[in-house]
Amino acid sequence: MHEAVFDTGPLIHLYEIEQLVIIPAIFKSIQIPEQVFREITNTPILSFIQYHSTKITILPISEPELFVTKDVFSNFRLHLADLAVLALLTITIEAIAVTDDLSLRKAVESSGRTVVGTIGLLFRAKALQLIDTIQLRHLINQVFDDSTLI
Amino acid sequence: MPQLLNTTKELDFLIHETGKDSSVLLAQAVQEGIHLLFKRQVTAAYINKQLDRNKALLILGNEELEQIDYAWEALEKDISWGMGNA
Repeated sequence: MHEAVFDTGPLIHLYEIEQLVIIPAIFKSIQIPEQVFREITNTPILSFIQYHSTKITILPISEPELFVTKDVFSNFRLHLADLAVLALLTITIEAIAVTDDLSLRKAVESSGRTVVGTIGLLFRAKALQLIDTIQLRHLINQVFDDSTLI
Repeated sequence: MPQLLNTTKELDFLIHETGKDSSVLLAQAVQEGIHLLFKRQVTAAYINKQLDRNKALLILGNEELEQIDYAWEALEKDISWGMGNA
């Protein structure tokens, strides 16, 4: 099982298709930068994070760390929360990044780290038999049709 | 997440802010809306391989097409990781 650093998007998209539950089943531990956590205003997602507080940790990223990260990734168009994800990845060496943001994805890939999005998590849920093939097909359709992923 | 206003409120805001007549704004909205739908359809046709890259490039431009290619590549990598192949 992997450790993961989460961006906001996958939390929102999995909530929209009622599949937040797969997150703690897929990852050994989950870290969310404080800057990402502050973007979440959705009560059910906040409750989910609180309920899984033994597995999900909110970590502060200092301003100097953000500035250093901004310099390193100056070629990419990134927001504050994206920089916080990248900064946290430099601290958590083994973790993979979880994001649906293509700019952040490019930045993570440029540093040679693994990155996955909501679709990857759904396929992993199928591989771990948390959902079956019919559910997977239905959820993929739901992500593209009903969620805010695209 | 940005808060969405309903269409009437957005139109009222535009009339107030731009000083343009509602008919002018509606004509512009239809034109831009059609263009957006057209580009969406071109993107779908390109992804479904019903439209070749050169034609898609002429319509969408290089930056947008590269973004679509990257998104598609990301999707394939996601599936591969999910299935345990990465």
